[in-house]
Amino acid sequence: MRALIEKTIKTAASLKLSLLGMFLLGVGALLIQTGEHPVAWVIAPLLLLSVNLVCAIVSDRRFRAQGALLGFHLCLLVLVGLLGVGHLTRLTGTVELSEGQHFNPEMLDIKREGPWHPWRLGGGLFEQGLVEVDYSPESSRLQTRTQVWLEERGGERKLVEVKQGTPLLLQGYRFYPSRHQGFSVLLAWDGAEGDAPTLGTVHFPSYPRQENNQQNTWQTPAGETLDLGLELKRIPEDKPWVLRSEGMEAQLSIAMGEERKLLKSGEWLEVKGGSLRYEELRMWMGYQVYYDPTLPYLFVASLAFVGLMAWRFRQTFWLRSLAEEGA
Amino acid sequence: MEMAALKLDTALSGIGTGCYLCACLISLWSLQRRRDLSSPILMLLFLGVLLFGGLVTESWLRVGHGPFVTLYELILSNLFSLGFIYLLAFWRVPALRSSAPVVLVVLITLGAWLLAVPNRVTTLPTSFFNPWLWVHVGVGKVFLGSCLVSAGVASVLLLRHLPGVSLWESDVEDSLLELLAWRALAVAFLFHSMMLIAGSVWAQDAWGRFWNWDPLETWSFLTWLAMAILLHMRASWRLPKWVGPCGIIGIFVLAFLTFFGLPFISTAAHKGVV
Repeated sequence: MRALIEKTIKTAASLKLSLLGMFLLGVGALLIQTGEHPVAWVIAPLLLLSVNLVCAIVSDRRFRAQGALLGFHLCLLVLVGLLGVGHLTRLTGTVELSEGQHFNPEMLDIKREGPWHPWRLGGGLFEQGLVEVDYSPESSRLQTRTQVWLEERGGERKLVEVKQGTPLLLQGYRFYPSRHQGFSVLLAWDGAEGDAPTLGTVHFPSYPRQENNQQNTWQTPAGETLDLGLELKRIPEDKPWVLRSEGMEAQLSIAMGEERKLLKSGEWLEVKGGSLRYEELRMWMGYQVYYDPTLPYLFVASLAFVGLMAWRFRQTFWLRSLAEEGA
Repeated sequence: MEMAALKLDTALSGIGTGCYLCACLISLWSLQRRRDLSSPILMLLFLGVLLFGGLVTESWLRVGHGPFVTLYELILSNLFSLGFIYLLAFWRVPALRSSAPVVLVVLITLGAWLLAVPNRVTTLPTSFFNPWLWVHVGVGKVFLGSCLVSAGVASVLLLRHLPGVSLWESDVEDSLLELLAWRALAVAFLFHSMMLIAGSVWAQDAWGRFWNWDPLETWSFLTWLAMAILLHMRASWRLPKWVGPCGIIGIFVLAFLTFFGLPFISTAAHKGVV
């Protein structure tokens, strides 16, 4: 029995199997790149290579005796393990927040949630502050600045500016300012029942990317669906400009049957079941939300892999070769 | 003013490529005559590198950002970095000097390509405002330079065994050339690994994910995998003499196409150049 196990391990440790695994990994990578094949096409070869490597370490005493060689191969095993954990726990999603709006996890549009994802994201973490995006005269997007008010213990608030390329890290979740931001309108709804007016925002498509499509629909609490549009003063494109809500002239147009009513900030409009007031223009900011607890460990394991491999190459291609030349 | 600067850039690019061309012709002539003409070759290489380095600096100052965006900037910066890395190798390791004609043909091709590419002024995308971009690009250049040196030496190993070709015969033994080719490939593999790591950190910050299997990521991973396969084969088996050099040249071709070919067929966000 023992002999059979040893023989099996030796067979599984074969270099030919390593090469086959690497070839299959390459094929899997090509298939995934087309976007039509699942990630399993690389997971299977990675598992094969991991088993092959473990068997090689177990069965080959010379392998174990060479510190650097063993070290960087162990790093590869750790990397594969971390990638697996990352895949199972990862959460990716997007969220849009208007200036003055509090983040709530229920607002997340989840793109992918790993089966082991530990939900740690609480509500009331932050409130969206001012949003500003610099544009060149040709309307090429430059720097994005988004301010957020962090809710701290003891009820204090701290203002933080998040720039593109540097995420806001909260409870292990990374909030990346996305390429999507635009205008939103703050509306007050006064129902016919005499309750106090309620506030809410309606987001319009990304600006200036969809400059000519600033339309959206909104269903009033009374059940009527309104077609809303935003009439913005055109931004002159012959000089650098900043996209922000402050100072932007905008009128809200609302389709009422055949005609469209134009509202300025602060104006009311009677609609079925109540009245609507256009409070003010705001900006909304899009964030990509990403959770993967393995990122720092992946980085360290990758660096260890390179360091140990450099040490191994020094032994193989420099020291040993020089010794052989000397001999 | 802008037009005059562009004309001067074109003229200097032409002179830089001319330096590489002259160095190539002299190296061929020195091989044919069995004469050591390393000094003039070194001088011409130095002059070429100096000119392309100056052009990179001038373009940087004029455009306001590093040579990361357009195809023109990519080729120009590689004419400098590849030339610089080969210059160092040529200067410090005399045994690999016979590879100069092969390596310089690659540089001359890039130089001719540069002259045909429009020199447009573009804005640096916001995803490029990241220090990891510098690390990614820097180690990437060392990777491609080491790969070029390795492929140059590997080509000499193949050329000197072609029937009827005696140009590359010399006192330098095959075993030493083989060792140099593998050493350069080992360095290339290390720097390629670092390029992937730095690129992943950059991608995480720039696009909110460290790996997305976009064409450039996939093909650079395939290049890495091909190098891993070749190094494993070399470590474990006694390969026929032609296998190693052919594999190394194949890897350089793969890397070259990934650097300079994919940007033309990829529409992904991470397409290298725009």
